[in-house]
Amino acid sequence: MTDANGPETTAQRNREDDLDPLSVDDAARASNAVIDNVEEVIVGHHEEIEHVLTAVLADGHVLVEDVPGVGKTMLARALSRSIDCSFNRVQFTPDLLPSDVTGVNVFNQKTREFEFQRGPVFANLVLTDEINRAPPKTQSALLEAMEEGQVTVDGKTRPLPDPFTVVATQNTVEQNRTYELPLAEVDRFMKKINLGYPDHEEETTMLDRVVGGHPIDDLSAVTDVQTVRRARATVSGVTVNGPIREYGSRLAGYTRENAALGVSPRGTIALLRAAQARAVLGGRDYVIPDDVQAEAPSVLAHRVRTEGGSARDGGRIVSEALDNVSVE
Amino acid sequence: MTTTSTSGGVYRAVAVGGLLALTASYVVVLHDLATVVGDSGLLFPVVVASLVSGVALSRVVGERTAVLLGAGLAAGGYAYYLVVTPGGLDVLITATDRIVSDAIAMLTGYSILRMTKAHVWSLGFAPAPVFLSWFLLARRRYVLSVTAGGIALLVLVLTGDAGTIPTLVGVVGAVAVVGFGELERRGGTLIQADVLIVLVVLMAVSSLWLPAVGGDGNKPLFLVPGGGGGAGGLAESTDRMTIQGETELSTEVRFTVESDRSEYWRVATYDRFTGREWIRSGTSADLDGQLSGPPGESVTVEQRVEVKTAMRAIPAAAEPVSLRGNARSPARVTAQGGLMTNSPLSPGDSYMVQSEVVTASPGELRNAGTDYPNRISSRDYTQLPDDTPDRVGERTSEIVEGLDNPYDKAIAIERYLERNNEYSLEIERPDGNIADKFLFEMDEGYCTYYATTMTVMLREEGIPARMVTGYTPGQQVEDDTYVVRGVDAHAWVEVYFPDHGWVRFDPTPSAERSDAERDTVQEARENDADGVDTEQSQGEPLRQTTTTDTPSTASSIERANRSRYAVSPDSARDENLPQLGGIDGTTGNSVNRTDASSSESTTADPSASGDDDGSPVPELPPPETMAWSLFLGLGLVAGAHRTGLTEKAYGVVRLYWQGSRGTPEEDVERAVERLDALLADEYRPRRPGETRREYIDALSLAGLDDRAERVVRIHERARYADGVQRDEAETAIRLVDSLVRERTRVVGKYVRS
Repeated sequence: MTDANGPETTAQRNREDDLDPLSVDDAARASNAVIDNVEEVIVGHHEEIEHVLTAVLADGHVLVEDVPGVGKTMLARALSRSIDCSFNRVQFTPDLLPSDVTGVNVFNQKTREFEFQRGPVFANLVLTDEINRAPPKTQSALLEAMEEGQVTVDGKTRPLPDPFTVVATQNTVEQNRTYELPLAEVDRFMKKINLGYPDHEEETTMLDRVVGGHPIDDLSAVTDVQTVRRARATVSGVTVNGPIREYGSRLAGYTRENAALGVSPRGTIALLRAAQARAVLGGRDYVIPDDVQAEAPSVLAHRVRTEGGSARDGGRIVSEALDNVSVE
Repeated sequence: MTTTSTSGGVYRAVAVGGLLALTASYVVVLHDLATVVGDSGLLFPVVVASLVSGVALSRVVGERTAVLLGAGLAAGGYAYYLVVTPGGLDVLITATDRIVSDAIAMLTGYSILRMTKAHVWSLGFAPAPVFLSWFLLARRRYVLSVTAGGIALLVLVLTGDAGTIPTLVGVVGAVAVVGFGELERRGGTLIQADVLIVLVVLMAVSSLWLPAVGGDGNKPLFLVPGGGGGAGGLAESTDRMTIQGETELSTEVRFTVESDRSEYWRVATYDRFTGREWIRSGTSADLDGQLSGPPGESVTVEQRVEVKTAMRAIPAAAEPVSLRGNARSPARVTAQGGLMTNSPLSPGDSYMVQSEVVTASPGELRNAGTDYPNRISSRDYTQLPDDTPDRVGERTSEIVEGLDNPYDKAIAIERYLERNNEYSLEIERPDGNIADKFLFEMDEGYCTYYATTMTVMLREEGIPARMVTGYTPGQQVEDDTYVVRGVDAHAWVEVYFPDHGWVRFDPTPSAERSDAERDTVQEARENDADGVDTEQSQGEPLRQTTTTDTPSTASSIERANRSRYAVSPDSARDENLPQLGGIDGTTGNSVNRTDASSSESTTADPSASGDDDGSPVPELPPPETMAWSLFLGLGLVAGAHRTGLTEKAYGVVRLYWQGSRGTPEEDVERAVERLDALLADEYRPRRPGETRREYIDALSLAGLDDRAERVVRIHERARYADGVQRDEAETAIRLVDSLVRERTRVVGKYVRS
């Protein structure tokens, strides 16, 4: 049994420990170059681009919830082009099988051996559209890949490329015939963001650009996968001092006191990790409360549920927490 | 961080504390009542059981059921009292109207202590309010809970048994329950708590300046109230007599007596002792015809008394048997066989009283035995408070060791007291049991202390004895006329002997202080004080009084045989009067007083003004004062907090005080705090969830320059990164200094150039 494509996969999955981290300044420069580059294509979503990039740097995954056609796919493609990494897109449908995501062993008549046909999940950046349309079994196959950074098919475990970031989208309209993501699975996304419509000015600018040829086609890479890995090592080394850990813990505590389901410890860890990436974006090797505050809404809100409330209430609770928990 | 939930918990805790205080206030009063009559052991278990069952049942039964249960408890308690009290059931059946009138009497200041079975009453009374109030508290019905507890306290206030302190504690507790309970229920804020604290303290403090409520209406503001006992002048025959501290006697003439015998003029007798108060238990009845005199041999003494200053008493030699005269209101006779009146006698009133004076000889008294008739033993003339220290009884046993009859024991005790304590009116009233303190801790005291102690010691020996107040014979101006002044007020002891009756003993040493008394009168004469003399006594020197009395007081008989006593009635010539004591605050220049001099004595006597126990101001503040200061301080702090005064004062310090250098990180921390304070003054305080960056960004729109931002950046490194260097810390301090100076020009000029 052989791996049909990509003998480099095992080598790809290097831990950042083995890498030589970039200096904070270099990491910040590279990150901002990527953001600027993506903004060539995506108009008016500076913050969201930052969020996706910090998720990549913090080794997390992003859930995008929005109406169709606001540029979710474009954002992912632009990002993958900018950092020159592999990119796959899967449209989730009710009849999608787990093997359609992870890959399957196919019998090769010539060699009379089973060969592993890698699924779309084997890419640095995976865009899964309308994740809530696939049946739970398929969803969980993806979620396992997200959590473990590897895929197991027919008893053989194969590591995924590194970096590996899933950008999943969820449609907020057409809620019928969907499988809502269980809370435990939502928790595995580091952040959840909304893109939203561009305003009038932004939309005009965007239309100017697309007329006569889409700018995505002209987009060139500004960095490479290796640099992203080194930048990620930089992120891991960012200082998170006592007061910040305390602050994160009190924010989580506030949500637990004021909602039926508060932020899990996994959420708190994700918050500080995202804040580290945010600090690197700001050119600092230490986290300040502003980093935590910038990341808290996208990292925490989708993990909070109020009694019988809608998902929107999570955002309200988190913003209350940010207002009320004192910064020290 | 103040969240609603945590402060809610605090408020609830304070509310619970408040109800504890309220409950304690009336339980303590009930306990004191029970202690006096002798059996307080059951009270606390009953209270705790009621409390626990109240809280426990709050989750089980509804409020209606609980109220019914409470009513049942109250009814059960009263029924228990009636069953235990002799004759109680008969009263219930035959004289329901008396129960009603008794209830009214109680609520108008009739002390529960005057009930024969006060301890049983306490026991029956306690469960209902405790149960109900804690039940309701557990269900967060704060107002109702306080109503239940408050009614209990109110009853005790109205009966006059709850003193100022328990009342105050109870009321403050009640306010705390309602205030903080409601704060908790409605999720109040710290500001509202401030208001409440200020309110509570104001209320408590203002109560100090206002006349106390009910509880003290009956309480003598003059010194030894008692049947005029003390009240030298006033001579009011009250139902209770609080033992006071330092006292001063009036030189005003109270009344004159024409009598062929020199006697002690008795005003009131007390049977129940609380440790600091004497109570006359039982009710009085209209004087109807002849009273039965003493059972044994006696001599009849006719007295004609003319009232010179208003007094609510009918002084007479013991035992009075009949009364004639123009006293305006009908005389009444107490359960102890004394005379009293409910309305004051006016100057000019006069009455004739006939008394039967016991004439038993020492030998007869020695042989009288201890076969006390039922009416004496049932009156509980051997009652002592439960908490009387054991050493009193032990010391008494030592004194009377080897003596086998009550008479010899009484003489021994009398001699012991005369020998061991000095006479003085200038003393401080001790806390706790008067008899115990006088016996073991005090060196001096006056008649009330001597008589109280002797009575207690006799009772320790099981000898029926009672406390008596009244007047010594006074100044003899003619063969059979005595002028009695306020200074003649006195207290002594009566001991019961089977087949003879009540016999007088006087443990107060007389000789030591007769000079002082004479001086008092002389001084008053020299100052032309009004009322010092009658026509007859005008110009008469204060010579010794001739006492014709030989056998009437047992102690005088004994004294005749004891040469060591320089002065005794028997040795005939006593300079001025043998005894003084008692008390009177009046200095005697009002003539037309009708309702006694109590109000005046209040003002005249420094020790009687104001608070409950009338203790004079000691050198070191007593615990109460300390507690008050603390309490007041709390109020002031809350008030200052409320008005923002503390913040203002603190603010100035915060701005300028960098303090001594510590680590660079600490210095930066301090500098940024000063920056916070400065910006809070000038713009607005930083909101809790606002980071300093956001704060400075927001303020930079309002004109803040980049120095603040530089400080904040340095602070971020100090706090969130691996620290800062000394020079960075100095930079931060310098920047803040310059900002502070610039922003507060006026002050800044004087602080640093």
